[in-house]
Formats: sequence, C-alpha cells, structure tokens
Amino acid sequence: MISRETGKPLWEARSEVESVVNKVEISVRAYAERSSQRKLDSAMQGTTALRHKPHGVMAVLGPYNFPAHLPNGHIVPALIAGNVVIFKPSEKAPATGELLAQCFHKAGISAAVVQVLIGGPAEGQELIAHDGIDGILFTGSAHTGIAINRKLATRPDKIVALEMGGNNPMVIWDTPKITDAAVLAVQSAFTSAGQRCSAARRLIVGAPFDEPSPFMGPVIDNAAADGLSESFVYLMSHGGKPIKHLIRSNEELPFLSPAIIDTTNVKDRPDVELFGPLLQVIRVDDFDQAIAEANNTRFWANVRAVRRDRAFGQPPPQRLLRRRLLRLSGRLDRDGTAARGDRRRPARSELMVAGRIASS
Amino acid sequence: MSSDEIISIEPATGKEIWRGRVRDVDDVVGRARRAWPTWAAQPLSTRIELMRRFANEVRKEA
Repeated sequence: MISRETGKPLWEARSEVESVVNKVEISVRAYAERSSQRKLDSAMQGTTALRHKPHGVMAVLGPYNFPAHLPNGHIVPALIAGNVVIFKPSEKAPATGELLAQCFHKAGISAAVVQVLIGGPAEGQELIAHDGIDGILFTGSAHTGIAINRKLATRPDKIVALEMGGNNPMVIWDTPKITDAAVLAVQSAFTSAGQRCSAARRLIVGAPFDEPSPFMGPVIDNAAADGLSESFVYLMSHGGKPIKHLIRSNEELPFLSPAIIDTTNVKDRPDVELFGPLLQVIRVDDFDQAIAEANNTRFWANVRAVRRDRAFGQPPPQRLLRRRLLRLSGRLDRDGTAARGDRRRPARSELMVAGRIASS
Repeated sequence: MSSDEIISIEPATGKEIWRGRVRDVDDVVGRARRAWPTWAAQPLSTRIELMRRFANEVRKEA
C-alpha cells in the first residue's frame, strides 16, 4: 500500500516497514533512558523525586513522503508514555494511515486509544486548535510547521514537536573518492524522488563531478510536479544553467526525471525547499566560501560535507565538519532565531518523540 | 471530489485506490479524552507488550 499510494519503489516501501517495526524497540529503550524515576539530592537536605507523567491526548499529523514510518515515530513513543493518539494522516496518503492504525487495533489496543482522523487541511487546523488536545506532533513542510507554531505561540500548555525540512546544503570538497562522493550526492538528492526532509537541495563544489544514474518513482501528485517544473524554469530564466534538464515525460502523471542545475550565477536564489528531485549546484573558489555558501539559508534539516581525511584529523570528516558549520555560523548556534529542522519547544516533549533526534 | 470524502490517487497510474469519509473532529477528540485515563492507568509493561504485538502485526501485513 505504501508503494502504491506514494509511488515509491517496492524496495523503499519495504525499508519503511522495517523502520516501523524497529521503532518499537528503539522507543522502549529511549523511554527507559529518558524517563526512569530518579531521586536527586536537593539543596535543602532532602531528596527530590523526578517522575514522568503522560500528557494526555496527542495529535499526530503525518506527512506523505513516509506515511507510515514518520507518524509511527511519534505514535509509538507517545503510547508507551501513556498518551492516547489521534493520528491525522496526510490527505495524500490516508490509506496507509488507516492500515497503520489497523495494525495497532489488531495488536489489541483499543480503537479509541489510536484513532485515525481522515480529513484535509481544514480538519488539521481544527484539530490543532481544539481544547481537548494536549500536544501536537507534526511532520511536514517548514511552511505548515511554522504556521502551527505561530498558532500555538500563546498556548504554552500544549507541547509542540515540529519535524520539518529545509534548504539543505551538501559540500563536496577536495576528495580523492569523487565517484563515491557523486553516489552519495545522487542518493541524497534523488532517493524518494527528492521527497525527503533530509535530502540535499544545494550541492556546493569546486570542480565538476560525474553524471548520476538514480532510480526512483514519481513525486506525490501532479500539483507537486507542476510546481517543481515551474521552479526549474524560474531558475533557468534567472541565470541557472541546466546540467540535467527536468523532464516530464507524461503530462498526465507526476513522473519527473532527476534534474541538476548550476545556479552559481543566479542572483538572489530563492531560499525555499524544492521538495523533489531537483538539485542545485553552486561553485565556489575555496573552502571558506563553501562553508559560507552552505550557511547561506534560513533553514535546514540536514548538513553534509565530504572532504579528504587529511584536513580533518581523526574523527570522521562529516561529523567534524557538521560541528564546524555550526560553529562558523553563529545564527545556527543560537536558539530561537533561524528555522531549523527538528526544533522543539519544551524539553519535555522529547519524552514523546524519543529517538527521533538520533535518527535524523 | 466532494468535501466530505478524501480520495487517494496512485501517482504512478493516476487511479483511485482508496476513499474514506472525513471524520468529525469533536467526536474523535471526545472519544480520545474518554479513553485516556484507562490507557494511562495500564502498567508500562502492558503498554510495551502491546507495542511489540503491534510490530508483529506490521510484519504480518508486509
């Protein structure tokens, strides 16, 4: 069903199912680590006990790109912690949502503990504003996530977890393994037809790279394919040079060929998340410029860099560079400024979304 | 599409594969609120056991 409803190849749908299954044990461990009862010595010669209580009714708003795994990553930890769940699947993948809920019910969990709310954006808005909801666990676009955050800014009693995407940079710099780096770039930018919050959107390089050969399905619907085609034309008409054109082989269906466009000379590149198989290449002269270009965005969910080990020393290059990117860009370090993937309001919400931070 | 139904289209073929009625938010939230105390009162070990059964159901489905 996942494969049919989203257009993902079967191998990818199977790996999503595997993630759903694995999430259970990950969540059990995470709950034990984060929520065990503790006794602490208090300053006033007594002891303080720390206990964790469930929040109540949690609304889980799911995306269409991983219609089972991502909402499940909120549902399972919330249930373990003693919350009940209202799951509103994306209106673009409701059948997968129903199927997931049926698995909970077949396992012996009451139908009232995990309910599916079938509906569109109107029902979603009604749900998050409802007084009977104690928390919102959302996965989807930064656009919608920010709207939810704004709506609930005056409601500190409701916990909010927003899993969003971004205009993700990937730096490939001075690596002897150029083929491996190219494979990594293709996997990152085009797996799930580019419909992953963590997919590379901007590739920052100093030298040309190999031609890719990806394997993927269609994007979610014709509206999404139209929007991506328009964005590609926009970038082209503003100075972008296509390396691989975006081709819509059938106007009736949302199949898109993977597209790569050199936007080095595009002035005022739109800082948006183009949610599909469309990768921009930005060429720079030196590594410092590469870092500056990587940081040239308001929001990202994922940062990657590939570079030969020599420049970094012992730790794995990606990890060190990730830290370096964070350090070099003050605004990403500070909390509460730029939009960023995996941003969460009150720390307690981590109880409910246990495990998500490590996996993203 | 009538506004009281959600229809799922298979993107690779353009065919309808599922349709379902839009549900009433008040009803769903009310039912969840009534269900919460019983669920929260279950021992942690019971909730974890049910999650493991859920994982088995997902495996069967795939």
